[in-house]
Amino acid sequence: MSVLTTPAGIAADAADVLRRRPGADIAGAVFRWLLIGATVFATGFLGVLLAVMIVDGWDVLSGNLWYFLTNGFSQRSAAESGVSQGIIGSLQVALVTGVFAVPIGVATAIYLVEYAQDSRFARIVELNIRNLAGVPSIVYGLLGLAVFVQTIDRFTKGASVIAGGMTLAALVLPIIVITSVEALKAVPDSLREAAYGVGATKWEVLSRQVLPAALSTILTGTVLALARALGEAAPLILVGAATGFLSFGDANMFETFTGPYTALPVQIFNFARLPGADWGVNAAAASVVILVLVLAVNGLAIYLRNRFEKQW
Amino acid sequence: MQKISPNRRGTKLLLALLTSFALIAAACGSDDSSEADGGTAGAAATTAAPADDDSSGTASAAATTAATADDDDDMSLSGSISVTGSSTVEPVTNLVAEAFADEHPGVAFSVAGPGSGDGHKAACAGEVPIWNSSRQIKDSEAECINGAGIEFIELRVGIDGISVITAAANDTVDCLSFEDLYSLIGDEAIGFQKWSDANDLNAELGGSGPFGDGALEIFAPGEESGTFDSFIEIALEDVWEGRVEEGHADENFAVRPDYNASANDNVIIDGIAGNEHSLGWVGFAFADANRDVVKLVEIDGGDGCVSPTPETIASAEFPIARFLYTYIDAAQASDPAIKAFVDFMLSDEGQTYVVEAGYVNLDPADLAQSRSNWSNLTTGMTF
Repeated sequence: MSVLTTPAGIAADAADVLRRRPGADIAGAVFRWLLIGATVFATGFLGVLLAVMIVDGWDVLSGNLWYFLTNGFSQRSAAESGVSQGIIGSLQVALVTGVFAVPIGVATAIYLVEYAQDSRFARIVELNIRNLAGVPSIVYGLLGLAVFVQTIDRFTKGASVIAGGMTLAALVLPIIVITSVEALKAVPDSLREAAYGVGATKWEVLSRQVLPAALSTILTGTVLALARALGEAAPLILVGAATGFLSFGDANMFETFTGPYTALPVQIFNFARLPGADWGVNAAAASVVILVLVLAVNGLAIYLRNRFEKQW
Repeated sequence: MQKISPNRRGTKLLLALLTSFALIAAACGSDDSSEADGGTAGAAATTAAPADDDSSGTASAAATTAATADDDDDMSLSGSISVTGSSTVEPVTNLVAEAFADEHPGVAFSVAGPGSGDGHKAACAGEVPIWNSSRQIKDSEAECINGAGIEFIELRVGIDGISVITAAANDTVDCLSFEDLYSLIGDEAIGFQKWSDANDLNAELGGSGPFGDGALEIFAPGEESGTFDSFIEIALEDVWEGRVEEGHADENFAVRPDYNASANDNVIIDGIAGNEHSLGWVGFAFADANRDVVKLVEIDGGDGCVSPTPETIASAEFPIARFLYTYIDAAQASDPAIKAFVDFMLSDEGQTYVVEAGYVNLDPADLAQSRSNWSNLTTGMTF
């Protein structure tokens, strides 16, 4: 054994390493293959899931996809049922979620990073928000039922799209705040200091330098948070999304925001619990539909990131 | 300068997004209030229409009321009806509502099925005009609803048999008595891993055992389910209460806690079908739809083994059957849309959907009672 601190020892060690054949690094090779195995396992699971959904839902996806996408739920038979109400309901709910969650979430993040900075208060608030992000969605459903459906029912009209959207807004708000905080913190201080240095006011620094620089990350985080909201079923069922027959009578598009609704994940839940194999086909097909929808939203996030991304 | 311009564009986009969100929020808010006005006006207009001029309670009367509504004010009938409660009754309501909406496209429907208990809770909070239950309302629930200033009308709408099931491949069980069910599923059966573990208890109760030594895997609904409540009440309670009096059983728990509980009936069916010596219970409609993978066990309620069929359930020969209920807020019974809808549900045509949903029609006396409750607006528990 050589002593590392002497030049001669270091040279001897280096020579040892050089003499090793590539096959001698067994631990390294094992580790590499473990990592490859984990990756294959993870993506394989996703692949199998996707394949099972497509195979199970093939009768609907290949046969009457258009009918499936443009018709509502019917108890009469699986073949007469579609997911149009779920798609529209999900988009409506996501819109309301965005209306409430995005401005509040981004504003909170700007305050925490740019105004409250590293104060004790800001740290406590941020810690709480991070904890809230880990609260199970069903808890937000209970909150939504108690507050948005029952307490402020004069505004939400009870179990309406607005109540559902506000519930999901509460659910994704912590995620939006956290991603926005990270985005703002990632903006280098040198940028702020340079702006202040040439005499810019705080408003000018924020609106012309910091926000544009953080925009792509904020947008990406926001869109991903909305995609998560798109996939939630449990809280919506709790706040009264219709699992059964739904019709809008003569209500117009705007009135439906204060009326009953359903959402794609809720419809999948409903298809999956009905008796008979043909409903299972609908559940699988609806799962593919929601996957495509979420994929489209994530694609939008990637586009926005590339469009507005800044390199430092 | 060159460096700033793309930044400005970014800010403008963010501001534009925020502004548009704010505008949409404002639009939703104002739409909210105008919708309320419109809704009231619509209700007033339809109240003036002659929707109800019939108050006798016979079958034909209910049917003609629905028919009158069809002919006279098809176009003017509007409003919205939301129904919640039992997931067991939900398919019946769905089918009736779909047929009704075909005739009255102006009426908006929202049907949900979280569970019987949830339905009564929603009614207590004044959230719904109509709610379903797969068991009769409990005294505590009725008190809660009445305490909220709401009177309810109780209707029986159909009968559901509860089927005790095992895997289709299981040829060791054909018929079980209530004593057998208690010795396998009751609280005293905690820890029984095999059917034969229940033999001592079964012999003590005078059951039909001994059983073989297959692994006893139990799949059944959870506590929140009306099917769970009804099964205990009908199949287990008599035996259980006897055992409590004799000091053998716990007075708080009728069912062993160590079984696979699920709110999703398809999960129960899958579990039953996948384990040869499984045991469980679900509503008759689910069991009947899955006869290829599960076996419907005959039940001996004291008068010999009876297989569950629509006939034996309607005639009450099959011992584990329960009534399906619909409850209506009496204060909203005069709403034209709700009145026409319930009229249709109780009409002969409406009752055909009970069968289509996989359940069994009421006998004529019960149906007549439901119709008279509705036409006389009789409130409270009447069955």
